Amino acid sequence: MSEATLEVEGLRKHFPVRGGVVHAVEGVSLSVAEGEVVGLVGESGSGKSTVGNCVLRLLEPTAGTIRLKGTDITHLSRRALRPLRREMHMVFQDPYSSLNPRMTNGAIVAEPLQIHGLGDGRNGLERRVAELFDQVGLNPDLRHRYPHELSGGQRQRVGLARALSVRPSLLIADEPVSALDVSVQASILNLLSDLQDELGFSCLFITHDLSIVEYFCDRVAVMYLGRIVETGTREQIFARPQHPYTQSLLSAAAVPDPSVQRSRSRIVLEGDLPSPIDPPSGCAFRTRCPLAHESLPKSEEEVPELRDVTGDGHLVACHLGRRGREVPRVADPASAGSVPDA
Amino acid sequence: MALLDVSNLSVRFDTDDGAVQAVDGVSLELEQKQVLAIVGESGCGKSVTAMSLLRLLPPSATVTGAASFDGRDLLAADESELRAIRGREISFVFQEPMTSLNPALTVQKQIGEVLRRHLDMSGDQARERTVELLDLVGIPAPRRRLGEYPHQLSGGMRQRVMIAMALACDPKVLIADEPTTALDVTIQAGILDLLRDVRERLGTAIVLITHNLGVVADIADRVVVMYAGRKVEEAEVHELFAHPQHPYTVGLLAAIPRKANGDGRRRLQEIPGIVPSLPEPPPRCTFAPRCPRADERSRSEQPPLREVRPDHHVACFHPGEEPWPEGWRT
Repeated sequence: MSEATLEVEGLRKHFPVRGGVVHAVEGVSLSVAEGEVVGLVGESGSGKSTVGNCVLRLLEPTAGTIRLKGTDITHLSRRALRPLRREMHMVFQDPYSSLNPRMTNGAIVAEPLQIHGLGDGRNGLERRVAELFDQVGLNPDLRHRYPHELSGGQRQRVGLARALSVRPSLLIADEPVSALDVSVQASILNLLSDLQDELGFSCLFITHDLSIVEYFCDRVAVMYLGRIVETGTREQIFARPQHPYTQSLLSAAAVPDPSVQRSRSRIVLEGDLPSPIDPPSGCAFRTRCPLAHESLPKSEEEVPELRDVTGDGHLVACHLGRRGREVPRVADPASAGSVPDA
Repeated sequence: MALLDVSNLSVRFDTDDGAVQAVDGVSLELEQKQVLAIVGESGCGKSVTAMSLLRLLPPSATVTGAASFDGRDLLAADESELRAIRGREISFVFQEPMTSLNPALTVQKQIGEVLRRHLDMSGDQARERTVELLDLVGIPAPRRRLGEYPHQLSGGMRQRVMIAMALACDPKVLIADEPTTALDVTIQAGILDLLRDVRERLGTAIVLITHNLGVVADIADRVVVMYAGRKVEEAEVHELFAHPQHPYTVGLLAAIPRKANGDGRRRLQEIPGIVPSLPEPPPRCTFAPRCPRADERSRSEQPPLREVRPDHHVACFHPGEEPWPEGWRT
């Protein structure tokens, strides 16, 4: 097996707050192979963005290791990290606040090239920036304009041109299209897909949107309250979701087809996400899990480990699943009766 | 007669940067117990349409056309008539439950205010009715929530409180503007179930304003698609998804990411160009500059809405379900 572009092991991130400690990330391990797109999925408060920020060292991890192309970068000083910064770049959710409003679009894209000394002189730099604009489908004349003169989709293209300017091995994309209208979102996803085919970078794609994950990602990791509860290939996760949380997440996503949507049964979760300051003992999902009673008292006492239930690398952290025994399907009698005629 | 009957509604804003025609000649009919979805992307005029009905727009807006609710003329109603209708017979649920609830009021005060104002209830009556309403919208242990403030509630709970407040006076119409957009998908599913339940149990008609076609597929009976201030298509929900006719609707449906098949990702339909902001209603199809089917006629004449399939209306000279030509660009 070739060396992974990114390897995260046992990552923890705790934030001290008044009245306790927020356990934002509680032991996350994942890897992204060369040229692979891994989707990190979860709802608000799951810790998915914190994982991304720790990998980028925008946040200092509390524990765990992060290796970028084999180099442990967990505790590298800023200076030692600098040459490696070139290897990973990010695209953020909000194209309105993630570009410096006082810089021209051209200067925004040129900045990483200058920092890493890749400009090849003023003319070389100009040429490269114009190429990058062209590559992300922007008219190179927009180099001389400012971000506020662009639409949301155009700004996200500037963000992508900037991120890819130094040819990183790893792109971390944190909800890159969720602020955009669906038709604009389509063009950015097409672009990302083309660029990824062309440049072959690895990508950690952080999102709450399952349809995008199914469309774009090779492998998927599902997070709940700071932990990965399930991970597998796209086919494994979407065809045979194991963890009751993954099952409910997939069943809750609305499909844009009324006949299909109205004939599906939906698992509606009870209650709210527990506080990450005082997470439940044992399995963090047990307070909302429709199957929790089946694994008492274990679910209250023991944190379930990620285990391969199907023998093909599909890992799930649930007491009800083990090698050779899949997690039962969550049936939802409540919703079966309330679905209107399709 | 329809419960809510809007015809030829137009809204124009006079801003410092000139005039903007936000809504141009939109007609809608909402029947009892119906869920009517108004769909479109940012700037299509869907929210402005809804807000103009209760005259919730700033003074810079000029509203023309006609809107009658239960036989009464909404656009001619005076302030006191409007106050009697707003929140009592037609109520609103907004996207951001955090900014549309008063942060300084407890749940009880928040909902109690509506009850006392519109229904003249005493404090005790209002309290009991509030508990009933919280129970109705699926808030567990409702009595315990009465003294809580919005910041103590989760996003889903806040939206449930908003809906409870909107339902307080048993309105005939609920206008929900992106009610699930700020919520996580598992919470969204619960809110959609709640809206469905409200319609079934209380018979409330719902105008659902959204950009999310999955939400529309889930709950709407009838769908209106808006583009640049105009209604471009309207049909029953199954008909619209199965046989979209307007090239904009066809493009929008093909833009939604679906599963990759085999090794390759399918390309998503892009709709090149941007939604125009129009100072004047142009005498042409507003989608023509972005449309693969546009011709001289689309560029010089406004296509009228016409019935192209049974009860399926489209404002396009070249309606049809065929997908966009591959790789088409403006």
